[in-house]
Amino acid sequence: MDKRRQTISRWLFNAVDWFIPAKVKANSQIIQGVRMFLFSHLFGPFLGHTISLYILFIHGPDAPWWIFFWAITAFWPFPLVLKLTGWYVPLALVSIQNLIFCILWGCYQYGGISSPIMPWLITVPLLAFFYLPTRKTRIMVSFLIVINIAAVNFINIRYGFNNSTIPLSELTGLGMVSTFCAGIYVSMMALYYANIVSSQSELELEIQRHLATTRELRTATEEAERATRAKSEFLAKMSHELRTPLSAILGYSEMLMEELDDAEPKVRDLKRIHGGGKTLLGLINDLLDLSKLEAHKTDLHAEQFDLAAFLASVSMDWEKAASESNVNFTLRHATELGPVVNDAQKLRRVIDNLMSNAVKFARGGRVTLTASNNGDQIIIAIADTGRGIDSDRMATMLDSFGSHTSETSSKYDENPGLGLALSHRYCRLMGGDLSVESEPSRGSCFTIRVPARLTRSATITAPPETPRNGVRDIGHTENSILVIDDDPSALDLIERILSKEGITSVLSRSVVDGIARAREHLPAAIILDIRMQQPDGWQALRLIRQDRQLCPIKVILLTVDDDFVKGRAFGADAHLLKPIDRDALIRCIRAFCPALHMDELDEANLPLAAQA
Amino acid sequence: MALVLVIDDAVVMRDLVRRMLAQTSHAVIEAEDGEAGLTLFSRHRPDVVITDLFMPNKEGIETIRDIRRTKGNTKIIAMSGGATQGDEYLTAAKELGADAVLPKPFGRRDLLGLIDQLFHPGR
Repeated sequence: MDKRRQTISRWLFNAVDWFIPAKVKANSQIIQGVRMFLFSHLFGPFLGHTISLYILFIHGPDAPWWIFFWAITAFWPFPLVLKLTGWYVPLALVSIQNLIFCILWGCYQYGGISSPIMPWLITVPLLAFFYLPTRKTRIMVSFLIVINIAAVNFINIRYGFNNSTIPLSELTGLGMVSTFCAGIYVSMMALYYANIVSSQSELELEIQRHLATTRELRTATEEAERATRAKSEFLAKMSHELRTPLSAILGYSEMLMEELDDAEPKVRDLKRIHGGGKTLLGLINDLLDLSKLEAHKTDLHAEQFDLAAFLASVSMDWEKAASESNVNFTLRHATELGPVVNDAQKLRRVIDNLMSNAVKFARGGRVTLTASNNGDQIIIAIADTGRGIDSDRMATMLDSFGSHTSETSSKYDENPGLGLALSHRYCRLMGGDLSVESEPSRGSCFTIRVPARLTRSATITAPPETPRNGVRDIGHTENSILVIDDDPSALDLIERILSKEGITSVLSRSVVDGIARAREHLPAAIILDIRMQQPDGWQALRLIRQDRQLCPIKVILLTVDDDFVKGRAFGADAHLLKPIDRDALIRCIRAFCPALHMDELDEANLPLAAQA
Repeated sequence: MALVLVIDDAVVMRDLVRRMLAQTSHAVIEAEDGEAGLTLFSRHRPDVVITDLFMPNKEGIETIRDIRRTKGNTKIIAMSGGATQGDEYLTAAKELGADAVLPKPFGRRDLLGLIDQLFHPGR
């Protein structure tokens, strides 16, 4: 029984919804009003016509009756007009005006002020409020009602009610029918409304159920991520452990090879041991990097470098390996590729991986590295004339390293799966992609597409930019770094290191002078010594962090003082120890001041761990 | 000629370093963990300390910090085996005062080059 009721109500809802134009359907604010509108127009006239038929029965048709009849019938085309035009609000207003007209016309003709049709007037504001959601339209409806009643009153005063058509005594039956129909009409609308409301609360329940599922999913995901992290930590630890025996294999075999004469037959065996050790090392590195990627612990280090120079150095390294494998290697690109901003080290890793495969498989053939830069994207293609890849393997070889390792390792002498999976993920991480095309026995071509300007500088070492109170926008020397140190030789060294990177330094030998210069120049960062005459570096740091204007400036402590806890507590961004380590300092500046213009390409690009 | 102290719990690593330095003028002393290393350090004041990072009794990071506190001009090389890039332990070791880091595995030329560089920077 309940099921049948549900079926009927669903059918009813669907029938009503058929009339709603797409434009209106998208507007969630008025959709329920539209449904009420359609429902009352489809079914309301039946009730209205009960009255018109009753009058026809007791009185017979005359001109006022026909007007009454057609005014009620006029409601039926409304849904269709709405479907065709989508003009909901105007139609609703016209419909309400028509309803008021029907009622007042009926009252005027049949019974005057005490007409049995009068109770229908109650439905007008009810409907108006159902149909029209906004204040403005509701006020308009109120005006409509007032104007209509005023008009009828005016006619009444001027001409008097037309009581002649049917004597009032004959209208008793009509009164009962009319009131009954009005009651049914209001109940019908109320029921429909209640249905809409309950379906809405069902919807809400559904939403809550979905939310609960989402929460469960999130917990599960978090747990899975924790597990992945644990796995990656385990792998990292394992890799540390694996490197000691590997050191022995590589170290001893290397020394023996150096000590022995190349002609000795034992050297060939030693070379095999050494080669095997190298392969193992490559695998461990790939495995560790992949697990880091999976645990989302891999950072990108964006830096600016000249693409052509970068490729020249890559190809120089590969020329020897290529000629050893009797491979004809060519590098092809326009003379100028321009400067690009990306993670050079990871890009290098990807190219090396692909090159190593290409050279391996193209033995005696050709390998071509083609590069282009269209300003948005760097495209590097590595094509070989090797044996190619079967189409069924091509689909999976770039993805998960777990799915095909055993298969490929049996077919290839070395396992390219790890390197490819790693390369693919590195490209993705850089916001690009790696694709492969291949023709069996003709060769394969791997294409790297990465952005020319890395937008996602996702690094642990580069925290999100802090808002700068607007002060930084007005042409200060943002390209400068302030160095505060009382040791002139330290100042000199730091200045030289910075100038090599194309960074202007502002030097200061005391805290008081330094703070004044910081206000004047608003540098991108301050390199601060701690052990100075009073006020010392700690006091300077406190001053900087309490100053509204200076507090966004990055502070790098460079000192013999190794109180890292204090450094962190006082709000230093990084804490480096003297003696000055050029690489660490540069890395640090690069991480904190990505906007600083740096000329040089720096190979050493490790993330900083011990920053505050 | 320099006196080199090698601290590593793996005999094979200590022996490897000794062998790598065998044909040079450097002398080598060995310790199997940080504690033993520090004892040897205070007794012999070596010119170079090469230390592993993961060891029983006293970890390499602590050992480096303790040696740095003595304010001598001993050169410290931290060796460890993490990733080729982004090894947090080696970076931490460097920031705590290691003069250089040596990722495992390394060859004879790497080690000799590094020691040479520490004593003659800029060469």
